[in-house]
Amino acid sequence: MPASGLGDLELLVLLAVLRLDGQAYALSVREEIVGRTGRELSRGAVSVTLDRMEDKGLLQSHLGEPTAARGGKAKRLFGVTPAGLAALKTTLEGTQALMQGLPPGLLEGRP
Amino acid sequence: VRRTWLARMALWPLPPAAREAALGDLLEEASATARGPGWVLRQALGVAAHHHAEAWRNAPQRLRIIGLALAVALPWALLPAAAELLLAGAEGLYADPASNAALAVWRQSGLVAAVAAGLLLGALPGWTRATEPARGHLAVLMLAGSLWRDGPVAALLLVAALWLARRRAAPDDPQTWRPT
Repeated sequence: MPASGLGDLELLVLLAVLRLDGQAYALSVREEIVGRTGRELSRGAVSVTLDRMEDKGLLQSHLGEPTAARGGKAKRLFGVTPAGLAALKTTLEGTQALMQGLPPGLLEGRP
Repeated sequence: VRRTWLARMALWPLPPAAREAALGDLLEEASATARGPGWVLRQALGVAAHHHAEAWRNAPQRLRIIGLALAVALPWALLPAAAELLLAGAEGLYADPASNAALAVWRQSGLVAAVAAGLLLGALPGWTRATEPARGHLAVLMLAGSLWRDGPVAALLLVAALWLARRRAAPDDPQTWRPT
């Protein structure tokens, strides 16, 4: 798996999984993203993005213990793989390279 | 929230372990926010819709699905035509019981094609987790085709063959986790 860049939602999901540090599952990942970015995100979008990233080798998952609050269903917990970290590095470096040289104060609306 | 079988059915495109985890997430959220089974079902349908759409997301996946569809649809389409040719040449030539039995089977070529299509669609390798929901899409198309061309018995046989082949190929065990 080459360390290619991440899509917009993939970047958010990867950062949320890192922040949740071993407690990342679809519900907590969505709450982390919505809570910290204010971005509205459907449960389905998070679910397919987690699956896609696991297929790409950026994340790995395992099943946790079933709990009564979840109707006896296990959590599917996600962690970031070395390939995921490499993809994150590539994406952030690319973003920073593009940001360099932009007029100061651009993001505050002052050219 | 205990009446979850509709939500579980809605989540059918997901692999077994992912389905159970997704249902668990919805039940946990419903429990925390005091929402009912109707909310769980609506959310499950939304999650499933994303997985259905994901199968067709990019060109390589679409090409893979089309290849698999052709592998299933060609025998389904060609078997009745082949049977027609065979029967045209063989009717009246043979009188022994074995030949008569074989010809009787070929006279029901629509049913044979439906069973073959169901078995192929259920057991054909080459699907990935992302493209797996498309197997259901093809099943619906072939079911409609069988119903239109060969009638309800053929459609029923297709469903039964598909179900049997899937049970053999991928037992629905939530503890079995197969990423691809």
